Amino acid sequence: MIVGFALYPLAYEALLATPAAPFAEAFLPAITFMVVVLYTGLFAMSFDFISGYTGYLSFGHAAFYGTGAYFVVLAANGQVPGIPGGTPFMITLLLGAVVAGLLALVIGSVSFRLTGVYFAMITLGFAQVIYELIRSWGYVSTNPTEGATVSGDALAIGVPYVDALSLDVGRLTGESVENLLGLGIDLSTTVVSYYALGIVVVGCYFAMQRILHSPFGRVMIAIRENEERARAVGYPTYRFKLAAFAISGFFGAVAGGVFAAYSRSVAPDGTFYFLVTADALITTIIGGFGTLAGPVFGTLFTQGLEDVLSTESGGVATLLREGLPANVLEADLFGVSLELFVNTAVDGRAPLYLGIIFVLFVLFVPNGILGTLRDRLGGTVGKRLPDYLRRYRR
Amino acid sequence: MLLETEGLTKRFGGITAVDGVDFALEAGELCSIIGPNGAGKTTFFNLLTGVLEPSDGSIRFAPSGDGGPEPAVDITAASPNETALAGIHRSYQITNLFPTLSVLENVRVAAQASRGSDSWKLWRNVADFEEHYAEATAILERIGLADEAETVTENLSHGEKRSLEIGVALAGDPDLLLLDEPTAGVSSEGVDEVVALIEDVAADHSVMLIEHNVEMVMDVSDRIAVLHRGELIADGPPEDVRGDEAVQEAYLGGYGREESAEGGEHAEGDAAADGGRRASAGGGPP
Repeated sequence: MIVGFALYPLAYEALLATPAAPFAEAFLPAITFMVVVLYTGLFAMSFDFISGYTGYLSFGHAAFYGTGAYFVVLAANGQVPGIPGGTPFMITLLLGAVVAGLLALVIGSVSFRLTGVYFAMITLGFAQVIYELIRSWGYVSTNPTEGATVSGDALAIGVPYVDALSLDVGRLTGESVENLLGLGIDLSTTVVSYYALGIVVVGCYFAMQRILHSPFGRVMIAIRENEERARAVGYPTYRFKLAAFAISGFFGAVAGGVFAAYSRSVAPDGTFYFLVTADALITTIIGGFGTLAGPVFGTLFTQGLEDVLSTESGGVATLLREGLPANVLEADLFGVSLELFVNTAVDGRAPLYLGIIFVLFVLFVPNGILGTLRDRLGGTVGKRLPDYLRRYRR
Repeated sequence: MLLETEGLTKRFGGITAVDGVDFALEAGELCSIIGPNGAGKTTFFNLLTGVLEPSDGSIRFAPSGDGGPEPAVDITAASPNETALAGIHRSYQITNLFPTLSVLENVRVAAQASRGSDSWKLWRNVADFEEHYAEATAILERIGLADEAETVTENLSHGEKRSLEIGVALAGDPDLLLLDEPTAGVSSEGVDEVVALIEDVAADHSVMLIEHNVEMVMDVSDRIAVLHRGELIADGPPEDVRGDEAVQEAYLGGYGREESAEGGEHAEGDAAADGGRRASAGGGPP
């Protein structure tokens, strides 16, 4: 999985140099989309961490994403009291995540007095209150509804204060690497950002995975399965839920911070808004609840679909428009020309199809992609795959 | 004295489910609690384990008995996790397990709870804690489910789930074990196995047992306490209780009278007490 992500940009570049390029451009997500997959995937994982493992749907998760994103941007602009403007991104990222963790403790200490749908609603309420606050908080920028922008240098991922071990990220401001390790491989700014962000995301994935495999993670699952019994065998479940929520908020904020570093600007609608949480929910359901890695698959799926159906970098519509002869494009389909049909029903219509696919997933694949795969294999993919490969090799 | 209640009372609105119960249990005893439906037996357990807070009265618990190394503590207002850590563990009338986890994990996670700060070690892999697995495996052997260790719990037969109920309660290393109708719904052949398990467990634990099967109760108990409409109407060795007039009245005469003179009122009381029990036992009809 991780290897696949690591090799993807190289494979993608290689494919673009072959005759299959139009199809690769049309059907494979571009690297810019893959960067989006990384940070939204991490955010969805942090959502799954609390919602999939303790069973408490955190509908206000965008609050932590936004906290991380805004903290990084404000810190970069020197607007956070006590943090000078030039503080390395890795440090502000960590601090922002800690702030979000504390925010989760505050929100959780109230919300965990409730369960089920009431918990979901009260966390949503908190997030919306913060959203409205941020939207009208003049300190953030002169036009808070539009959000804030990093005004200074590019933000770097790596070891703080060691330039050689840091990489600037950002679509326009990032570093590009020429002749990597003398291998003659050139990496564009986007690809460098992709790898730099990828390191952070993979690091967070392993950290969450470690926690879920610890005794603490088992208590989280026990709470999901039967909270009453978990209490009866001696767990102070309130404290466990609170700690899990804080950890989840921490990683949600890392995702937000990474997003902010890459995009260099944050807006309330892209961070604190409840649809940000909804995206995480949808990708988590498609990828598989309670699987941690599943949400990344789900994000890959939804982002891939969006890329294929948009014209920003290739996509089906472009392929059809350029690839089909003119007489086919103008052919009459029930009174509409095919070109018009492509323009209206394919180009940029990802949300429509995503909606249909989402409904189908909920109905027929309730365990999501990874959950179903694990059920079929009878264990996690990493553990079971070697057995299956061995069987086919014989 | 292992456990002592004084004037323990629980009211739900206008209904008194447990009414001024003075009860004491010696370490090592197997005491059964019997009584007609709605007598307040499960409510009594819920008070002891902190699921419900008493309206009145107090509960004291001395984990190692009187004069033992551990001092007696007042657990009147303790929460369920606190009473569990103090040493009181229970099984449920309606199966109340972790349904999608393996049988082994059900017991293991319960064993983990009683091992202090282990559960907060976020950075350690759970497989490092071999002692949790060892304890869980030993308990599975004791309750006869060693072969089902990897089975998903919801796929067990009803009888096996009833045994696992006791296993999960045992995993907390209880000083006092509260068993709420361990034979509920078990087939007549299966009952013998459960009874054998109860006798085995009672050999090294203090046990309180709620049970409807009076013959079985007479066999296994050191002592029997009878609840009727929340009141303790008899308490003593099985043979004394069997001959007790108040008990006969509650079980036989009580029903006769209920249908005539005060039928309406009594039925209402039963329903309310049952309602409280259902809410605490996780739903479903008793």
